Amino acid sequence: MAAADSCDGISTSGGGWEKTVTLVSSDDARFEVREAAASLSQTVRRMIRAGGDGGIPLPKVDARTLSTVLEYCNKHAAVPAPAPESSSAEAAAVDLEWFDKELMHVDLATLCSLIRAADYLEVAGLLDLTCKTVADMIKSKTAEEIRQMFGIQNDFTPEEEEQLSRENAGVFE
Amino acid sequence: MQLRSGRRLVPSRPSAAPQGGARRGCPRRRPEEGDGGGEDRLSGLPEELILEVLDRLGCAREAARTSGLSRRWRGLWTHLPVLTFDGMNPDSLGGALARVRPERNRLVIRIYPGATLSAARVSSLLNASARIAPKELVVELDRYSRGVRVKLPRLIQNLASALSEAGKFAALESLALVPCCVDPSDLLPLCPCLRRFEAQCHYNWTLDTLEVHSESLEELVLGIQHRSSMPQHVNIATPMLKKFMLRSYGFRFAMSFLAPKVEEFSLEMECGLSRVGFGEKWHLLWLSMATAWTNRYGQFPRVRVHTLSLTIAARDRYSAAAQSFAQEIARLPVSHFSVLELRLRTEGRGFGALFGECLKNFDCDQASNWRNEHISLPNLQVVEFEGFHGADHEVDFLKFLFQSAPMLKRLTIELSAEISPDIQGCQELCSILKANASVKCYVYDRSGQKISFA
Repeated sequence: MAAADSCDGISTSGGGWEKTVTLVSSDDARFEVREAAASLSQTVRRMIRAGGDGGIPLPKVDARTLSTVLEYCNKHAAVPAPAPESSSAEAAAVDLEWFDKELMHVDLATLCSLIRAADYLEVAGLLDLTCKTVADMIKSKTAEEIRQMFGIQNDFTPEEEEQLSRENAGVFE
Repeated sequence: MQLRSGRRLVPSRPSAAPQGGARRGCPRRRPEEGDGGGEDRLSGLPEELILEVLDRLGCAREAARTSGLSRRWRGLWTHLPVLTFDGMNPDSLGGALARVRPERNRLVIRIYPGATLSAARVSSLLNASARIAPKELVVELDRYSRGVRVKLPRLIQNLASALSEAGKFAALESLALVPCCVDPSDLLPLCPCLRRFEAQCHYNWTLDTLEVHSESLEELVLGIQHRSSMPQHVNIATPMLKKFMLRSYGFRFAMSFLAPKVEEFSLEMECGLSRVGFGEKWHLLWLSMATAWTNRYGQFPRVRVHTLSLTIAARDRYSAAAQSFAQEIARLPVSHFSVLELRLRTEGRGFGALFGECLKNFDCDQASNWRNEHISLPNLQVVEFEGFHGADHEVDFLKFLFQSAPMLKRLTIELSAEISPDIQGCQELCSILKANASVKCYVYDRSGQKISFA
């Protein structure tokens, strides 16, 4: 069994035995996670399959970011495949939506780290959630408002500014 | 991974984290509060991740506005794989399309009322679209827009010439024209890789013969929903077609259909005015045919089932039918089906004879007096009966069913709202079901509550 090497232990949760894996962040923090949750990351899933000793190293994600990613994975992996049209499936979806919204109440630095981490770890749902959160912040705002919000420096020369406004005249206002 | 200056959070090393990933005292702040540190982390993201963010704006115009933020952002939006131009003024749209980089995956253009379109403008828009060489192109024009209404057909006839000039739709795999005012036989030869084509015929556009010939097409969606735009003939020759959807107002056109690989259909025909019926009493309102994958009776793997649905209504004053149900069904491009769904608006009339007529379509011997003559339904296994009132003819019909269908396995009856369990009809139902205990019978009241006759 290829997965056995990187599988550190077995823990109980919700009355059943579940396989766990250990993930190691860039700053050497170790996280013991249910394999089902960790496998939401395609990157981790591939590494579990490849096997290895002493936990799965994730050199591009720091502990703080990883803990948020895993919070997401734990929650989303816990939701069983919904039987469509059932009222419990609907309630679970609402709960999940609320959870996602709460999870996105972080500062911008964290949000950007989460985007990078979701991309590197290939957690499609989290990449979508984080990018959507930033997109919603950009939507319907003026360039100046966006610059202020994200601390973007306007590095255009006056000539470039003029050229831009000429190009955009009548197209994108 | 390089750590960002000064913001390194030293993790409180989690000693043992049985559940893992629990948030350890991480303070939460609303993103709207701003970054505080003033460092521009968003612009620091790799280009492909900024594009992921811009993609979620769902609107090319919004994305394009970020061009003005800084040099880093300038022109980034033109790399978006999916571009949706929604409700833009056609003049601006031309300018916007001219900036987009070629070889995009999907280009959606929606033009809404108020837009006045000249022939030259439409042609230049389409040329601009062709230059972008998208894999998927969706052009939606508001079909009832007054400004467009009169001119549109003539204008969009320029499409074909615009396309052949540009000649760059070689990469196009999916094309939707809503509404469509261009003859597919002009268009399709220019799109050699087209796999999906959707055309909703414009109500102010008529074509004698609608020809869809394509070697590459795998999915075809046709809407012919206006009486004014009804063609005389519809000819489809698509050797690779797998999925076919047709929605039509009436079914008065002649149809030829050469698509040997088709697996999934969805046909919907409104037939209210087409004088298809049975005798003087019954006429066809709606005909549909659909393919579904089902395991509803517990079969695994799921099986593909073609269902023919007929909605038939009783009418008091109705001239004799010009065409029978069977004749109408024979005209369908697909005529093999394994489920017949009859929706009868009986207005209290006996429907046994009508049922007999419908059975013709299952290759059953039809009987003019269905009660007396022997009709065999050797393959019928499942029957669902909605709205049982307990009338004599309904009871007779059930008796007939048990006699004629030796393979019947399951019968589901939903009682009508008005019925009370102690009326004669219900008691008869009870005794019929008891006499045929080998068939699994389920009786429900209107609210879905199961009723036991035991």
